[in-house]
Amino acid sequence: MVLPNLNWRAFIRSQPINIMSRSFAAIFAGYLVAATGSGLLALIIPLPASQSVLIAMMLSFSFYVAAAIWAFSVGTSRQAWRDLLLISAILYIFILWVS
Amino acid sequence: MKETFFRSMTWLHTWVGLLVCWVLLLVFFAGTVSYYRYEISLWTKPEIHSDVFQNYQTENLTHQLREGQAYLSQHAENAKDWRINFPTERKPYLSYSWQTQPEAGKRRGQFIEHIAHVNGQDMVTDVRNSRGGNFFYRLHFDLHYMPAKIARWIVGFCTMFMLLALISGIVIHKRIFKDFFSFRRNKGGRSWLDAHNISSVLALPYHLMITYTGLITLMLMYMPWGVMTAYDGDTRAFRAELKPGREQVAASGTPAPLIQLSELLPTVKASWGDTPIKQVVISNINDENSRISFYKNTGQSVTDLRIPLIFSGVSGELVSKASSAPSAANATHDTLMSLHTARFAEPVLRFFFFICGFMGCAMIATGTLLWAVKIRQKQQKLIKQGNKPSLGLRLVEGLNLTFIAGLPLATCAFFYANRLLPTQMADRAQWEIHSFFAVICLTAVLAFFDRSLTSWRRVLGLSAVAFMAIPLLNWGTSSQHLFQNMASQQWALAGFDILSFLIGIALWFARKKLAQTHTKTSNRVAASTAWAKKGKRVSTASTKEGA
Repeated sequence: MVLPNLNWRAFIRSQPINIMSRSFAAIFAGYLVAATGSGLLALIIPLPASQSVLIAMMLSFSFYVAAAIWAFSVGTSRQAWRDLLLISAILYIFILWVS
Repeated sequence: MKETFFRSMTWLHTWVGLLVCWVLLLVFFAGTVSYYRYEISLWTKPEIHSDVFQNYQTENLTHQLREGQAYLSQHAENAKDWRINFPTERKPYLSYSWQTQPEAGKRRGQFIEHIAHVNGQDMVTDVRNSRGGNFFYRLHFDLHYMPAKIARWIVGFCTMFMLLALISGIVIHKRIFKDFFSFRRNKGGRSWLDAHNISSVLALPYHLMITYTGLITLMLMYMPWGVMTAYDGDTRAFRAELKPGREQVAASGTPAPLIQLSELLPTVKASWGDTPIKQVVISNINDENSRISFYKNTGQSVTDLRIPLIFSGVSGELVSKASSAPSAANATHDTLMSLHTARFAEPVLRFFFFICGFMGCAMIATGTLLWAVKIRQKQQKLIKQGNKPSLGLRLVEGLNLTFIAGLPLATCAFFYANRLLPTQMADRAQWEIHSFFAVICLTAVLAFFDRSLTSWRRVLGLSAVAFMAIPLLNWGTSSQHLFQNMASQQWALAGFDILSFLIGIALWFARKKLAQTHTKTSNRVAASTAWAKKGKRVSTASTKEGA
């Protein structure tokens, strides 16, 4: 890749890197949100365990899509990472708390 | 903010689509073909085309069970399990099959199936070795030449991207309804965009449904986290609780004689009435813990939880618990699964699923063609000056030719190999599959050297002729030709020939269309540059709606 200048700050803010970063946020942090979300749902849905797990798994992919769209809708890529990681951290704390 | 959102969605749609489109096309294509999995399997076994097909008849059950048991105990005494398969709508023959004892370290043995002649005495045992429709079914999620686990992750990744591409596509498509009703023919890139819009929007509910339910079919692999938290990761316990009928009883090692299967029929009838039976499975044969499971033919009901009646093979006692009504979550899951596989669909509905599947293929194909056409226009000046098109463009155009034009030809190669390879050849079933991929590779080689419209015309023309000749191929290599099949109302076989012929005609028209475009190149270039200019003006005013 040809860099127009060696200003790292400008490079990180540049379009390709920004978009790459958002994509990784959508893929990995988005998966974390879906995983923790479905893990939490499986615990808190007041049904027999096998039923709530089933429901949680079926819904998990819509969390994933929502998270990915989120990653592309916020202002900066850093905000995308921050939001998604924060959400999954909160969900994870809830899992620990419930179990 | 709003403008950024649209722009990033447009970006997302283009790049996400471009990254996974060829794998997705393969998966979509194989899935669409798999709607006719059993019909293809019938067609690929010409040995059973005559004197084998029969309907399910309740009054024959006792006799057929007795015969089956006698046959299996004579031919497959040491098998892992036995199956007696009764005729169904889509597999209209009676067969006795078994699984041999698995070799050390393997979970499954080899499956062997012998098919009964209609006269009730002879058996057809020398059916050619072919994967038939199961090849396309497996290709749909296991791909080929790689471990199934890796393939399923790749397919899952692409499916997730497809879901993203669909949703971002809806977001960026502001004028979804207006554009839907406008199709501008022969306008270069504009026409590709319109075709992309039509194939996407017309079957949009189907696309969303099939993508989401596709993820659901393998969700235990992709999203096992609910099992992690609620069952501490014990998948087995989860499965056992989910489907109580499924747990397997291990053999005890103490031999005990198997009862007559037909003695169980009155008990089965008491619970199921006259519902047809699809299959009887006998496991741990001649062991104290032997089990006999009856499966009913659930036919067109949407939920098919496959709750069997399980008997002890020694005492004939009913050991499965009485089945209660499925819970809401179970029923939802099962409905989503059967929406994906369309197992409930009768012929007309199945055909609609098939058409929708093809619309999905068209959506993917037109999307990537559209990208290539647009980029070529952007680079037109440079190309005219004698420069090479960029690597990305050459790559995309090459892959387009390989997969869009190559897949139908490869499918044809599979069917021709099925009928023309010697029946006793070693690894025959594998060689049919190798010929499928060999044709894709050959198309790739062609695409490497020449990606012009001439190549497209050649590949499309060849597949058109090959598809149109399928009825002839069948006539030459099966005991029953198309008109005999129509007369005897074997619509699975006749339909295969007719559909192939129609696909051949469609491909021929596509080829002809390209030939016309070729002669009018100057017109086309003029039209598309005009469009590109207009497109540029539009895109500065609002965000681009397409790629």
